[in-house]
Amino acid sequence: MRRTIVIMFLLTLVMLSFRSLSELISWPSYFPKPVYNFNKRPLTAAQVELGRALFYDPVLSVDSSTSCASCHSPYNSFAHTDHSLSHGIHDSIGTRNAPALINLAWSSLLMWDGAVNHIEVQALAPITNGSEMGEEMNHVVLKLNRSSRYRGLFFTAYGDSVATGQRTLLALAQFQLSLVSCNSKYDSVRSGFISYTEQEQHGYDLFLRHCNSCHTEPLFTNNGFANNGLSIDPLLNDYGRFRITNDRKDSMKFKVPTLRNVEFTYPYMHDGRFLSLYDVIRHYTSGVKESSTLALQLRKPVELSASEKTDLVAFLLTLSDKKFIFDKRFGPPNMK
Amino acid sequence: MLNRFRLVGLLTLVYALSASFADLRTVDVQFVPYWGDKPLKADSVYFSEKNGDSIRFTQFRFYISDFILHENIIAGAVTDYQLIDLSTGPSAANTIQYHSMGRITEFTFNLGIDSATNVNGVGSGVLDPTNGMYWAWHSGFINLKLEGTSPSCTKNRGKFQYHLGGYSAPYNTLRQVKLPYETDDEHIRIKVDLKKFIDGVNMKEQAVVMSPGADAMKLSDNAVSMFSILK
Repeated sequence: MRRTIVIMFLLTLVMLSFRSLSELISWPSYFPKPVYNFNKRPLTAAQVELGRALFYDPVLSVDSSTSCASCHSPYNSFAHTDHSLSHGIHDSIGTRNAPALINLAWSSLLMWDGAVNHIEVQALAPITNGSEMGEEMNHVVLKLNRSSRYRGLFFTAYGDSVATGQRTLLALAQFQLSLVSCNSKYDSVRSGFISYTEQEQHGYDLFLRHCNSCHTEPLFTNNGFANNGLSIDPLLNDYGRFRITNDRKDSMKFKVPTLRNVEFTYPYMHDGRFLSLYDVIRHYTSGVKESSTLALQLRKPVELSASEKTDLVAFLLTLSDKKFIFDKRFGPPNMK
Repeated sequence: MLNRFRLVGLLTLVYALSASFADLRTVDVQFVPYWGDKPLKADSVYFSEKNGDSIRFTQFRFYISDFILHENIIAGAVTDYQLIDLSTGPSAANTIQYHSMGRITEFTFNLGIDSATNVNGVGSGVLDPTNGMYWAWHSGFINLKLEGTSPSCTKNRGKFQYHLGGYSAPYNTLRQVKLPYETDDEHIRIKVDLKKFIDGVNMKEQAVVMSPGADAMKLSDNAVSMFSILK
């Protein structure tokens, strides 16, 4: 009896420590306030479901070959294992690595160069990119309006069976906003339920000293842009945010990605040049290239011994959220 | 430029004050495309003496908002976003209904979409991205789209494409158009003279402007000069 009461009490504590909008999305109390305005446009189950159907459907591409999930797989935290650059219709190869799609409600500017200012308009970029889906939004809407399955899904979501650009993009955004990852070992430790191993704890201390200023916990990104000292790939000539702002100060700066689920999102960097976490750490200890826009934190090389590198990786693996990876709500919908 | 919220508040106040003793009037506004002093005909070829370009237009669309008619103070307004399509001929804007207390002295409207709306997510109706007036690779509305063909555009397979937009400093391309005009007429026709725009462009060197920046800023200033009242 007593044990039951204790368990009930603990469960209540756990429930209270989560911020929740509905059964669709919740997050721990130590997360900051989301950037997305859920008051203005609340998540609804039907819109999320429509968005999920669209996300997994190659109908969004011009030749029905490529879906969002082609490069954003749920089993890789919605990144793309083994592919350094995204690919699309007619076997074309893009110029950037597909990033993980998690905790996007906390992300202000999207894409590696921050080209997109709001999650509701993000999908326009891959849908219309010639190396990704190569479609036009009004043609996507035309195809959706011809499908009885989608007419049904749009009716359930919006009370009207007509697909519009806005409704299509909003549903895609709603599904992606529902992709919250907050059940890693890090989160359990942070909530006080378990402890790190000695090695993980040491890795965490190293992380706080060397990484946290950009990959800031608890989201493991500061949502900023930084030049982390990568050399320019002469085949890509990608100067990142400079292309968007035309400001020299932004040359070679890319969005700081989240490190949550980093175990599953290899290869790493905006062009997927590093295959393993050890390659990444080696870059920070001995591969950083000097340039005028290099992040101040990297002007002096990070010094880590071999065992410290192993400890740091041990900590990074505590950011893996298997519950998220295998969450059926995020996987492909059952086709009828 | 008036903040939208303040504008709506001010209008409500003016309406409340004036409703009791002013006449209810409506004003129709039509935009009419011109080439110099002649109405533009669809699919015709025009010649710009200034730069020696012969030109055929295929698409001409732009957004307007906050269309206000002034008597001595603001008298009436349509705050809605409107997408004016002059690709095939004249196009009407929304009718303005207002309480008149005298003669109209001036028309003003914004050419383009304000920055708050540019960062507000996906829009519906005329703001829906399926209208083709929204950039995909770089968020933001295209305020004005002018496309056509000209043998001068040798660097772009004989085509010109001017997509003007950009909402953040220092490249905010939203422009206010002011047209002083004293009238009692209920039918207002606004001339949109494409010759003024084309004369200000070096098509041989600059057939394409499709991103925010200094060029879009200059061409947006150029676009403002196209508008005048047809008397």
